[in-house]
Parts: sequence; C-alpha cells; structure tokens
Amino acid sequence: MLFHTLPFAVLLSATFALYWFVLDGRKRAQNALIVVASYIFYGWWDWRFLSLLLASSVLDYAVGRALETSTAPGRRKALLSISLTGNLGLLATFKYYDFFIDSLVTAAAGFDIHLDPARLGWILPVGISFYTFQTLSYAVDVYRRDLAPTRDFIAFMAYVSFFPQLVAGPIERATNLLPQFERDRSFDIELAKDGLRQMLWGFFKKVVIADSCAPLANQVFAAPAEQSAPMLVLGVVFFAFQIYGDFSGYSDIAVGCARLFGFTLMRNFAYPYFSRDIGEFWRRWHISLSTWFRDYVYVPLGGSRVSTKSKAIRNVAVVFILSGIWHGANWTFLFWGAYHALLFVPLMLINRNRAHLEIVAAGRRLPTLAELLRIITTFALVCVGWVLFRARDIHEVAVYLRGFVNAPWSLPQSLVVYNGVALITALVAMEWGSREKLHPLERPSWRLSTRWAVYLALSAATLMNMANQDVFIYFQF
Amino acid sequence: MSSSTSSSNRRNAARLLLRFIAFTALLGLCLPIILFLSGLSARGGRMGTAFAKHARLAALAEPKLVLVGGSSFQYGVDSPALESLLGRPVVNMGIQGSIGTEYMFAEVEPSLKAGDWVVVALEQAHFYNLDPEGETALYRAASVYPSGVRHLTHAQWLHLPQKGWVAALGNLQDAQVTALQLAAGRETYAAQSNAQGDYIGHRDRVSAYRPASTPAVGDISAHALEVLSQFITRAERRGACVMVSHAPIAASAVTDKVLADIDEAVAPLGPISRASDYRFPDSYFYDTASHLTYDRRIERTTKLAQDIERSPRCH
Repeated sequence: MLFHTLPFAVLLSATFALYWFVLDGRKRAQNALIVVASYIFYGWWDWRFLSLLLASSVLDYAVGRALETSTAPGRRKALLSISLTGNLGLLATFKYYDFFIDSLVTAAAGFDIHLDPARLGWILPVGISFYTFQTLSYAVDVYRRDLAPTRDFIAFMAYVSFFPQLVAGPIERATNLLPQFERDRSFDIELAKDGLRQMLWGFFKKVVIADSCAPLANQVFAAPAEQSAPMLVLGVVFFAFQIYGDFSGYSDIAVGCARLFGFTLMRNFAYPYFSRDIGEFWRRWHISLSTWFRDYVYVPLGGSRVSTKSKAIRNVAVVFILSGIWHGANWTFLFWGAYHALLFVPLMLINRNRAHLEIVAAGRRLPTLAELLRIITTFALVCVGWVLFRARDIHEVAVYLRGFVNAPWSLPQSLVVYNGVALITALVAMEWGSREKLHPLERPSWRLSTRWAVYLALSAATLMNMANQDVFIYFQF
Repeated sequence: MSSSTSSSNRRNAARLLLRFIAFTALLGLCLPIILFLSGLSARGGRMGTAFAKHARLAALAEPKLVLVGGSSFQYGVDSPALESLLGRPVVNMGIQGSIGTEYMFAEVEPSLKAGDWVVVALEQAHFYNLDPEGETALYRAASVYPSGVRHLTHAQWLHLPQKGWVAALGNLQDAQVTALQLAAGRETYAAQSNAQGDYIGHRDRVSAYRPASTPAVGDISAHALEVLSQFITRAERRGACVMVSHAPIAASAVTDKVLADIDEAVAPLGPISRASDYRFPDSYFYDTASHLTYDRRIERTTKLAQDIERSPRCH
C-alpha cells in the first residue's frame, strides 16, 4: 500500500479512530490494532509475504526469550547465530541468491566454464531489508544485554511490523521503539499536529519534487550515450533530488504518521545536501542505516580504535561496501559503497571525518564562500556516486561519466527542465531556511492565516501532482 | 491509565480530527477556485480553442456540418476544403478524445437545428476505454470553457475531487507553454486554428510520428456505443442527421481484428464508412497515431466528403 493512495487514507483514518476513540487506555488492544493495520498495509501488496514478516517476528521473539534465561556464553552465541542465520538467510535467499548465481556464471564463463544452475526468480518482498535489520538489532541488543527481552509478543509484533516505517524505514532500534509499545500512550495534540505537518512536507517532497524530477532523470539514464553534457549533469542532479525527495519524503511521512499514534521515530535525514564533506553527508543521509552499520558492524570490528591504520581502513571499507550491497543485488551498488569509502578514508586518515558536527552557518542567514564551496563540492561528489547508484551496469556508468567531458554541449530547453529546476530551487531555499529544525514546517512562527495558506498551497501542489503515483524508490531495497 | 487521561486523549484526538476535517473542507473549496483560475490562464492552449468553435457553432444560421470527435478531427481534416466539396459551412468541434463522448455530444447538441449534419468519428480509445487521462481532460475542457460545466454528468461531478487537481496542473502547464510562446513572439496554440476550428499550426512541419507498440485491447465498450446511439436519437429529434465515420489511424497502431470489431460494433448505427478505410501509412501522421500531417489532411477530407456524398443517410 502506498502512502499517497486512497486505501492508505482509509486505513490510517480507521486505525486512528479505533486507536484513540475505542481502544484508548488499553495498550495491548492498541498494539493488536497496530499489528492488524500493519498486516493489512503489508498484505495489500502481496499477502503471501506476510508469512516472512511473521516468521521474522516469531524467530527473534523466541531468540530473545531464550536469551533471557541463558547465561552460558556458548549457548547465547548459538542463539544469536540462529537469529543472524534466519534473518540474513531470508535476505540472502530473496535478495541476493540470483545475483550470486549470475555472478558465478559470469566468472566461470571467463574461464571457459559454462554453468547453468537454477535461479529462483523470486520477487523481492517489499521492505525485507528494513524489517530484517530491525529484528536483527533486537536480537543483538538483547544478546549484548543492552535491552531486556520483551515478554509481550503482541508488542514485539507491533514493533517489527509498525506500518508507518515497515517498508522503507527508518530502521528503528528496539531500544527506542519497543519500550514505546510497552508504555501507556497519551495523545499529545501538539506532537500530533506536528506529525501532520511533517507528513504534509513528506508528501510534498515525494509527490511534487521527486515525481517531477523522475521523468527527466529516467530519460537521461535510459540512454546516456544520446545526451548532451548539460543533460547528463541535469540528469544526475535531478536524480539526486528525486531520490532525496522520494526517500526523505517517505521518512517524513513515516515519522509524522507515527506521531499520530503517540510514537517518536528516529530522524532519518538531516538536510544531507548541505553537508560540507562526505563524513557529514553520511551523518545526515539515511541516518538509521548508517548508524545501524556503525553500531552493529563498524564498532564490533573495532571501528577506528584498532592497532593499525590498515585495519581502520578495512573497517570503513567493509561498512560502506555492505551498505552499498544492502541497497540491491548489483555490482553498481557495491561500487557505489566502495566509492564512498574512497571519499571517506582520506578524511578519516587526517582526522577530519568529524570536522563538521554543527549545523552549517548556524545563526547566520547565508554560508560563507568557503562553506558554500564545500557544500557544492560535496554535492558534486555525491552526484558522481549517484551515477553509480542509478546506472544499470558498470558499462553504463563509464558511458555516463565519459559524457560529462565528451558529449556535445547544447543547453536543454524544455518545460520539464525549467519546472524541475524551479522546484529544486524552491526546495533548497525552504530547507536552507529551516536547517535548524527537524523539518521546514516544524514550529512555524507565521500567523495563523499564513500558516494555513502555506498548508493549503503545499496540499494543492501535492494533489495536483498525484497523477503519477510512482512507487517509492526504496521499496525495491 | 486513569479515566481522566483517557478522556483527555479522546478530547484532544477529536480536536485534531475536527481541525483536519475543517482543513480538508477548505481545501475542497479551493478546488473550484483553482480550477477556474487555472482555466482562465490556459485559454491560449488547446482547450481554449473551444471559445472560437462554440462561437461559430452558435452563429451559423444556415444548415451546417458539425464534426464531432477528438483531436483526430482537430489535426486531421481540412474544413475549408470540406466546405467547398459539400457546399455547406463546417464547424470542427474536435479538441481532444480524452474529453469523452458524453461531453463531446452534450456540448454540440443544444446548437443542432433541423437540416444540420453531424459527422461523428470516434477514436479507438473511445471504443476500448483506453483513455490514459481518465477524466482529467474533461475537467480541463470545462474549466477553460466554463459554459461547458453544465454538460458534466452526476458521475463526472463525483469524480471531480479525485481528478480536478490534476486537471488544474494540466491547465497551468498549458498556461506556461502559452507564456513561453508569447515571450518568443509566436502564436499561441489557440490562435493557430482556422475559422472552422482546424488546427493548422503544423503546416510546414514534417512527420515526427514514431510508431509505438500496438495497444492491447479487450472488448468493445458497450457504454461508448450506447452513448453514441442515444446521441443519434436525440440529434434526430432536433431534425439533425448524424453520420458515423471513423478517425484516421496509423497502420502500425491498429490490427485488422480491431478494425473489423469496430465495424461490426457500429454496423447497427449505419456508418458511412468502414474503419479500415481510414487506416493510413505511418508516414501520414504528425505526432501521434491519430494526428495527420498538415498536407495529408486532404486525403482524409476527400474520402470523408465522398463518404458523405455517397451515403443515402442524410440525403
């Protein structure tokens, strides 16, 4: 079920009404309602894959309960291994099996060995990369004794399947979200109002910005060899804003929607295109994934506090490559991860990877020239990465990147370009002005009439652009 | 949880819900205003040609020939030549097929008088419900030419909240195109029509049509045939005579079976031609599979005039 469709509006309204007007004060019933709504939300796409969601929930709940009564380190490790094997096995089977087989066949062909192993050809269950990581984090936290295992299976199911963030994140930690399901809820109207505002901003970013950028980006990436150099630049810039609007828009809707039910989800995007270096970019882009890898892969590997620099570099490379391959079963994603590792490692080696922790130009209206240059440079480097991310294969990446230099120079003239550039400029301006807030509509200081006029304008723009109803890019991950 | 907290939760949730309903209602009220204003700004676009067409339709006193169809008429007939061949004034009401048959027929019906001839040429999309735009074009037509609002059916009014916003965006895009044309010192789309209502902006332009895949079709829509049949009855009550013809179609965009099915479906209505008569080579088409190039319009026009002359239906 897509957020910007009528079935979701009906599901959300019905769940909200039952949750607060019928079941208020009965948290177990409220949790059960969330589970039912979440399973409808997920099953709307393909009910058969509900079994995976259920299996993942049962597995990690059982592992958690078993860990509670286990003190022997060997047994605890074995229990954790069961969770890791189960969750990563699901991912490996559904997401990577055919990719591994294809890569094996290609590699063997290089040695004149012709293999023809069976492929599964299964469709990728929506959101599997998100909810398997979420349940994994629970098992690891319980194993580390960072979290007491829950004895409330309904609350755990609600945590795993919570519909606002089920299929495209944020990837919630059990330490943050699960206790919220175990507490009584109170309706904070200010929080809920802000949730609605954040949802509106998310819808605007997805439907107006991302879906308006998509046609040109798709056109350019469909045939990069036929494009002029400015079109190639525009194509990747439009894709940069398409994926940002799409994914951060989804996250805003998810976070806002959760607030309507009294839940606070983690922030997933913090104006990443205003970053001054790649280190800052990764602290602001898909925060729930990058912190997941930091906490569950990078730190256990030793992080940067290892005996040699080569080990520190290895740890960074492992995290970025895993992060790349998490996005999809394709070599382009792996190279995308490796590319970001290449950008990050020099910063780490000179101890500059945490140089920009504060908000850019805080307290000032405009950035300094140096800050602006850093922002533009970082954005350009990120855009080169997006070519790797969006292209179908490495050959296409080469064609695209060569085109920046070799392709003819003719300025594109079309309404799609003008409108896209205008929308991107408007988005950047609004986000720049709000970069000290969680989202641009948070705590608006305007008069009531101005506020409502802004909300009406954003809603109208969103409704006008609803015809596309493109699916969210991150659904495929 | 205490009962006072619970009742406070319910009270606050109700407050939020009420505010949200008020906001939604206000947003709903904005739709007709936005549609009207966007329609006003889009009068230089394709839908804006309705003004001149309706003005001519209402002004002609003598028995006239009214062409009813989609853009295959707007782009695909030479009405001055047709006037010469048939000796009666022509009004080309074709704008865009996506407007739908109900509106197309409803907007000409009040102007039909005894002795008038009407040629209806529906497109493949009408017969098979292939319209990709749904009712968006309909709301655009009615918002640019507000007198058309009275022709909307109850069902079409009900769908307005769903499609009206997208229609407004279409109007705004037309307004942008118009503004760019004016800024470049060029004529607007609406100004590139002749007195009869034919689009002539594609004169001196070569075919840019690139064949796409032939659309898969299901069964012919009984609704389209019923609407056409009812229109014929109502028009004849006014003393007008309706002739069913066919829209031109690019050879690669249609199969023999589809044309045969269309012929079979319209046979009870006494058509004046066969669908396959208007299947032309791809090179005859300008930008889509139903828009003829400026120069090739004459072939369709001549054929249409012959069909009208030969048909005993209105003579």
